[in-house]
Amino acid sequence: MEWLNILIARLRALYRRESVLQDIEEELRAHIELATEENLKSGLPPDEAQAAALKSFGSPSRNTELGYDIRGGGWLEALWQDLRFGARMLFKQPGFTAIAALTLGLGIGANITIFSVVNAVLLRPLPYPDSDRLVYLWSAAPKQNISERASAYANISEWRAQNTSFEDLAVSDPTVVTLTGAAEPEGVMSVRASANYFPLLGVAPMLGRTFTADEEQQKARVVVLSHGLWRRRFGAAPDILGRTIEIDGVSSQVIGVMPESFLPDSDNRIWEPHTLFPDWEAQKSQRGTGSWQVVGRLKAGVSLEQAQTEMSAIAQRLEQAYPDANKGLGVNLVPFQLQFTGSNVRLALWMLFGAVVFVLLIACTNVANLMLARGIAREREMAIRMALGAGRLRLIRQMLTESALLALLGGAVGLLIASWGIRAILSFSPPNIRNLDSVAIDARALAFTSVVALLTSLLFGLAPALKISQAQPGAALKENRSSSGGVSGRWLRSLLVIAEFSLTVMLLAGAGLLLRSFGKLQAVDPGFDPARVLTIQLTPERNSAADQWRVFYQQVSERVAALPGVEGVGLTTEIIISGNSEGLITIEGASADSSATARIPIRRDVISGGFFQTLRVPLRAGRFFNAGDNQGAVPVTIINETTARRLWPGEQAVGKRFKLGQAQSTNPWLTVVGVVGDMRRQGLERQPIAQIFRPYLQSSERRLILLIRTTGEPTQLASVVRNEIRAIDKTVLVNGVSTFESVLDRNVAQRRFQTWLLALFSALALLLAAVGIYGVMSYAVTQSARELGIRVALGAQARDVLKLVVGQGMLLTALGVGIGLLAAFALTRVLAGLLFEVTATDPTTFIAAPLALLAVALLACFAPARRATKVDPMVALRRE
Amino acid sequence: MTQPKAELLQGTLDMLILKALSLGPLHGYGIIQRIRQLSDELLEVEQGSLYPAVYRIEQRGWISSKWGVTETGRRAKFYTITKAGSKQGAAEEESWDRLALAIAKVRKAV
Repeated sequence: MEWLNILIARLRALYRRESVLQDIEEELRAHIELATEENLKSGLPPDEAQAAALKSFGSPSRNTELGYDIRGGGWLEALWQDLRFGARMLFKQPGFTAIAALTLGLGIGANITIFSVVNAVLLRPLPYPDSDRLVYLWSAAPKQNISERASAYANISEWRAQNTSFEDLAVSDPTVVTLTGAAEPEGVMSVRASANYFPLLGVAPMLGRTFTADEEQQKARVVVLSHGLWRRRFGAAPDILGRTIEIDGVSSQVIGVMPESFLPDSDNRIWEPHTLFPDWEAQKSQRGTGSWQVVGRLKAGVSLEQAQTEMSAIAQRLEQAYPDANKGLGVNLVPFQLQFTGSNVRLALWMLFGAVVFVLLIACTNVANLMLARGIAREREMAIRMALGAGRLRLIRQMLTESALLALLGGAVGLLIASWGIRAILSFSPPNIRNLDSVAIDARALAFTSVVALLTSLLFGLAPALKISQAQPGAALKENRSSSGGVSGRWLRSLLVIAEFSLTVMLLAGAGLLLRSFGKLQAVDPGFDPARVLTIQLTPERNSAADQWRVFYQQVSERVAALPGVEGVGLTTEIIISGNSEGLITIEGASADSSATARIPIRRDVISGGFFQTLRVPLRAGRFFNAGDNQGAVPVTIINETTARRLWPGEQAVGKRFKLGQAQSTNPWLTVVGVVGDMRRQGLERQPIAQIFRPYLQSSERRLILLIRTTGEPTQLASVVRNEIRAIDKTVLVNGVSTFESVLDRNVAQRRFQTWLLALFSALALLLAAVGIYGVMSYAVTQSARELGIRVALGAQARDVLKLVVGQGMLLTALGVGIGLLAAFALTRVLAGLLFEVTATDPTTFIAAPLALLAVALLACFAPARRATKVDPMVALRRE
Repeated sequence: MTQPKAELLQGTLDMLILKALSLGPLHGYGIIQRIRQLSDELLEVEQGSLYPAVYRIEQRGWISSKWGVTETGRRAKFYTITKAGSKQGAAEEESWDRLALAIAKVRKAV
């Protein structure tokens, strides 16, 4: 606590300087009096007694000062002085202060904004205990550029048996099942998991229990519900445990409900033992790749790298033991935190973070330049201070205090900018980034701001401070020539400008690549025409029968189609495909035994006949659905080209039959009546997957989306359509009124988000760089007015002067751009994952970015150069 | 003042002040007097070095100060040793003794 006492004493001394000084003086006076008294006692006459006491005491004022230094003031007093002085200096030059604070504020504000996003999305821990030890284990095929593929069960068994890094491994495989029984049928996601799945994640059920290893072994029909499903479908019934529900027509017992925190906003999830898959026995011995997701919990003290090394070795042994199935298969460990945010979001955020750091660095170089220029003007002041005895360190300290003040001011401006920035991000934010909506400036962000502000003050303050403190009192005081910047000063400023341009060109290159990707993406043909299509989600009452729904949908289709301004009407279960699902498909063979079953990524939808026409999807073969494809007719299906190629390569698909599930499944055979063009419903960036469509008249789908192509603005028709629907059936829930384009738009929102943010930051950088070179060139012109004057006096033409000044500026620019391009070549490779049909070294971008920068620099140099041509030789030469 | 004065080794002043105060509260002048008495007039502490040392020690919390009145009725600031100060004084004396012993040994060895 000693330092605390000292600090308190010093702070007190700071406020009560006078009283401390008085106290010391009084004490010293008492001392002299006591000494005089003593001298009197030893027999000296009074005047001599006092003289002797004074003499032996030395200088009282010096002693007072010494005492004050120890008891009060000291460095704290100096700091206080510096702060007051610094604040005065900043106030005295409001223009400089405002520009510097704004420049820093932009840089710092951008940093706080992006840091807050990174903090919320990437750094906040997951709702599992010790979640940093949870890891996904994926099969990887580096040669095929696949890093996260589901795994085969026999391989997983070996991983589990051979590893020493993990406490345990658990498996799961999501599949879509139908809840049947009392209420209307409904598709939900069933995660079929091993019994140790929940204990491994460290989450206990809210109600009941999760399944046991015994139940797993016995393939027991038990099910755990998600909180959302329990609340929605079962009305949060407290007596849910032990109830029997039907899953795909088989009864299953509810044994538990998970807490809401385990899986927020999911109302259609259940968990079942992983042994329930019909092909489980076959899967057990499967190698190569499979369908299992594996999660593991690292033992305490085992690092991710250690585990990765061990798992890679195990994978290598498996590859040698089973060269056919496991050829080229490795294991890739991905921490939960990274898995949940997705590598693209992560990459995009770190990229944006890198970009704002660059912007801040550029802002710093600008302010450093400003301070250097100002420092030269203050050289005399510094020289005087030095001549009066201020030490070099003392001057540096004073300059740094000023920088820190400026940085704090910039930090305050930055906070203001960040609060706007975060609001803007929240309103433009793409919907599919976890935790993005919880972005806010919190304590962590504030701490980050302070650290950044102080670091920047060092960054932009140190060079000018060192430079100034080198001032030679004698030389500077002699009212030296105007070029007092000196060679080293000019060099320093030039270096700063070069650095600034290097950073800017890197940002421009990155932004250019993203913009080009975005452009290419916009040009992708989605396989359908989304323009002027209104979408409305319809949900008939659950207690009515499937027949009624079909009648309802038929009526809606007919009556809406008859409305004026409507070009076409269609129905579908879903517009955009999110997530991956795989399904078993059995293709009918020549004989009953030769049917082949395949497990492929596939998407199933229920649609109406008008769906494809409404979206203008081309028919490649066969026909569309019509009113005849109903309950009594042959079960039919339409498939997309990808499915046709996958199931019947090189053959005519129309007329062929397949069924969902295994050969012995009771599902009906479906006859292919048509083949349609591929639709990119998983997002424009992904290749279309296999999609199969069934007519709604042959299904019992309750919730369907109504698509209406209009002749005018689609939303204008919304209320008319709504009234029409109400007129048919008042009980039907109508929501999700939107346009097809806006639904698609949400899909590219993330890319647009990152692209425009980076473009914005680059523009900011470009502006700052332009201001930077303008400042340096203006200053150089002022400084070399004499030299220019001599040149003009010796006959140099305006053109020569122009060439000289612009040439100097462009030399710096070219150097910076060159260095920046080299760095950009290295850096943009990191962006490869964010690019779409554009290579990381895209020539267009790498030519356009430097050209843009050169053009801006040329403009920025031109104004000072013009001024240089106006130098009057007489005035310049006389200005000594 | 016929005897030659001993020079104070750096760092020993703090110890001497603490020692002087360990015998009872004193004002600044009194500290000088007491050190002189205890050292048989060999050590004369300069006022110029006494007060900085006293203030430093006070800042460290080894002594505390209070204005009071001397026997002759003068106002003076009196210093009292604190608990931490006693401990510090003892520690410094011990290390000083060790050092003195060591130096003596070295000198006798030659």
